[in-house]
Amino acid sequence: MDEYQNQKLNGSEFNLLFNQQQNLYYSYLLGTNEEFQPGRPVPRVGIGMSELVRTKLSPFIKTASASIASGVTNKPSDFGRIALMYTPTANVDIIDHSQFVSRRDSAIITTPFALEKDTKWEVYKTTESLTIIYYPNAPRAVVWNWDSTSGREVYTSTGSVDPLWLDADCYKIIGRMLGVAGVVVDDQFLMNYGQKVTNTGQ
Amino acid sequence: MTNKQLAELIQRRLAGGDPPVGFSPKIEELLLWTRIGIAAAAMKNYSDTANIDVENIGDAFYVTFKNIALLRDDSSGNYEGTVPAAPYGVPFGHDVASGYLEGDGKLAPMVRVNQKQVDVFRKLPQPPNSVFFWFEGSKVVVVSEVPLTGRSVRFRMAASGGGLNDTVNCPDDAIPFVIDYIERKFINPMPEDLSNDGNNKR
Repeated sequence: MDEYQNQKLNGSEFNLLFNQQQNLYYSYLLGTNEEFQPGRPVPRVGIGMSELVRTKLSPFIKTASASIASGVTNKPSDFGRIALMYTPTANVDIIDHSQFVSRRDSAIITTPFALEKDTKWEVYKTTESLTIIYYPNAPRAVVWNWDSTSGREVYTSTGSVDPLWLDADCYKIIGRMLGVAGVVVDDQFLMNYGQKVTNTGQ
Repeated sequence: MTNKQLAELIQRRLAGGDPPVGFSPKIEELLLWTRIGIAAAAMKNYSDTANIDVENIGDAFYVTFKNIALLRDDSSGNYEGTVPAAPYGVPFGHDVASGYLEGDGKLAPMVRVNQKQVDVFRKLPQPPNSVFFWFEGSKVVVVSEVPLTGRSVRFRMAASGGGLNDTVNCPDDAIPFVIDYIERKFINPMPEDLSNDGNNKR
């Protein structure tokens, strides 16, 4: 794009831009630690904060069961960030490493807990042999594939990968893309346009 | 209401709804607080009634501990047993209401001795077949000229009692005091914890 907004994005650039922006948007929804304040480590927007955020992230929430062997349970290969861990009988707290000894030696708290460590969790204070976890995994790379035999890039579903986002969030991502590309257009405009196409068929 | 329900009621109030994983204070922690709160409510109950010259503690604060085994302490010749909870520190007579020797489907009353009178009592001639007792924390000391090996005792006393699923040992009209008492403990500012990652921030 130039300053007159009269250039075009080719397919590769579109894919690059979309994937970059969807990852940033995903990260924003999970919560960014840059927004933490001293003594209040809470982002303005983050996972677990509201139904709105939960719904937006819902396409990426996965669940998995893993056995606890020798006090260790492994992370799934596509693990992103933990949302919930429990055994069939109790919640498992994922604690900070600095809390380990006080929690292990507590004469009061018997709730199971886990320490996160590279590709696994060390699970304590449980006799269960299974953990169930809920976790958001990163958005898959979106591909807008094209056929250029006509001399211009024409979308083809072959080799294309659709985004998993809900429609409203696709608009958000496109709005972010256009913002980065230098096109000034707001989300509402895109939504209105989409609604117009739905209503009029063109 | 059970002990667990009371603890959960307070936890849900502190959490403002469903407590998330990692929420603190936990149920087991609040169960201990409820015992403290109920003890405070018992003392308040006594004070309130003493102010109107009736000196009473509600029946619902009382619990009976049965089948307390006795063992002979060879150094003193006394018999000793341990009850699940020490009596409240309310005035003599209101804390431990009665003590009985158990056996053969019959109960034989024992005589309670005031702590200040223990040594004096030892010098006095004792009525035949009488059994005396006093408390030291949750330990009961029983003095008898008749061998009590293999016998057990029971006490009716104002004390914390019951497990998770037992009915709370407190009259319903004292529960609001218990809840307020505990909540006040968690309203005071806590020391700032900069290593907290937000998982268990309220």
